[in-house]
Amino acid sequence: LRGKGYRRVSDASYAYLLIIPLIIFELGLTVYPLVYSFWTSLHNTNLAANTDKYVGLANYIHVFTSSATLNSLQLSLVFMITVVISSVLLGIGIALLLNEEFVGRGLVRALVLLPWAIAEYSCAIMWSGIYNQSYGFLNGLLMQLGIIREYTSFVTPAYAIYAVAIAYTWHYTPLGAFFFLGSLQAVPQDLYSQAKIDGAKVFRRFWVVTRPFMRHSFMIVAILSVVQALQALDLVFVMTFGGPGVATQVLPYLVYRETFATMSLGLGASLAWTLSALIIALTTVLFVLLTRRR
Amino acid sequence: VSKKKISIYVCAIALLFWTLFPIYTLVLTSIEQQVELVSAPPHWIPESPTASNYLQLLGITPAVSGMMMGTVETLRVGLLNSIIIALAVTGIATLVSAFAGFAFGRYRFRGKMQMLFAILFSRLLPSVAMIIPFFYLFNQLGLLATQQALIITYLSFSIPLATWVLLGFFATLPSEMIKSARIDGCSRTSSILRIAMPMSRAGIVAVAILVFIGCWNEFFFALMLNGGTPAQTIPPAVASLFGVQGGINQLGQPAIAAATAISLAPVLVLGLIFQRYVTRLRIVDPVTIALELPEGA
Repeated sequence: LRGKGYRRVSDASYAYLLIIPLIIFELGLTVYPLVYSFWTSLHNTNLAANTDKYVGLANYIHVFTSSATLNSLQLSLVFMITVVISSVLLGIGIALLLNEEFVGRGLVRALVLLPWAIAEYSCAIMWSGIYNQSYGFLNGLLMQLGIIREYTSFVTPAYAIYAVAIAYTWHYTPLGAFFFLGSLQAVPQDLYSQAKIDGAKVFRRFWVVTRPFMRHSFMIVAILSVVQALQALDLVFVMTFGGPGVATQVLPYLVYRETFATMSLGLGASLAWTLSALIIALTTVLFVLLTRRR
Repeated sequence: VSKKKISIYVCAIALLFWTLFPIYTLVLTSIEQQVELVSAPPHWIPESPTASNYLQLLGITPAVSGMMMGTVETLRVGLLNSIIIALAVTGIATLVSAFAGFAFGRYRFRGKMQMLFAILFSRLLPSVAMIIPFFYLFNQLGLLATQQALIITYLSFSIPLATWVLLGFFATLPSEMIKSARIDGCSRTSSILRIAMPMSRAGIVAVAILVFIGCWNEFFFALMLNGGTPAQTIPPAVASLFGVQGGINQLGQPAIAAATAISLAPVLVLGLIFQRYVTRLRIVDPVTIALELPEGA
């Protein structure tokens, strides 16, 4: 009986009804803060100096001409490329392995996702112990394996960014691996047997049979890891606080430092928008490139 | 045993080592005495293991020092705040996203693609970009250092994520059951509540876990908005023991490691559960939505 009353509402209006809460939350919690922060980026807002005057694009000009920005941009790109390449390759490898049958696969599958559930700040604490120069576990391990003769520092100006990237890869890879695994499970087994009968070798089978099924997950994982790597902050924040010197001062950390070291919200906002624009641009380019052939 | 089998097991062992070694070092640190910890080469199996850090931090045995006593209190308050905030966000976000995800996954309406792109874009913004307006606004509203501040902030990124994941789930539900329920005189709302939601239980559970882990692990907003206050959650609490930003830790590595392990325990359990659902998640992209997803409910 009540159903009749509801049917007078069209499907489209009903759909709007369902998403009204989402729209309210989005407008209040995303759109409004964003508009506000863009507005701030055009002002010399500083909570410590108590200034709040319109300065046009002055903040952006400062950001684009500062050598700190260039340094951080370079570091962010190195970090991102290292993380994306290693987590995608490792992720595909893990997925292929977990898709094979072997004793204990269920246990391995369950354990492999754990690093993803461990927060970045905890990873930072963990990996600080591993990299520690005076007693660290990596030093001990390499020494016992005869690879190094005496304890060394891994978090040096030249290598710190890679040390952080490895820790981040450890944390981030499992999620992508499981996305890949999901797409592998959709591959019909008879395609493999057919390829085997046709005499295709392992790599050829992967390329011809498996790869087409992984295209979609590849796109998702590639884009997600680009975004995540460019946003990553906590690890650097807890483990190296941008150091030694400025060797791990990636863009998000620079935004934090510029904003909160001197409470200059205006300058920080302009830097934050620059970083956001970079992420949006890279994502769009990747998305277009990876979906072009459909 | 074929050559292939051997290489599979070698890879599996290497993978387990890569995955578990860092976790093992944390556990090892937490049950060693400071003296044994700094021995070189490291004792991979402790000679005199102790659970005393765990027992003190969990309040089972009395704290041995004033420093430790303060830490126990910090952790207790942090855990409590974390539980309240994560549960509140998980509940609200899952509810809002379940309905929105259903609408996006099964209905055609004007502005759908634009809205989906807007939701995706909101996920592209780094937390350092969002902290500036949130910090300023909460400062104005007097909400800094409150549980509400973090609940509001976490909703802003949990709802888009949850909606996006659930939409993929609802879109791939078989239409027949929902349609036949509608023909039998079921209203749209009750077909959602009685048919679609129960059918998507796995997806809803997975999303709830995803959101909960995200909130539990969130560090940056938690530090900037509530760090060092009574409304502090567990991430800044543990990080402050470690000595954020070059601060000195006086507690000793074993106690810090034990505190970290305690803070990780809930999400590790949830991660193990989530593992059963994760390969079933269908992460969709805007092109797929436009071209492939079925319409109508």
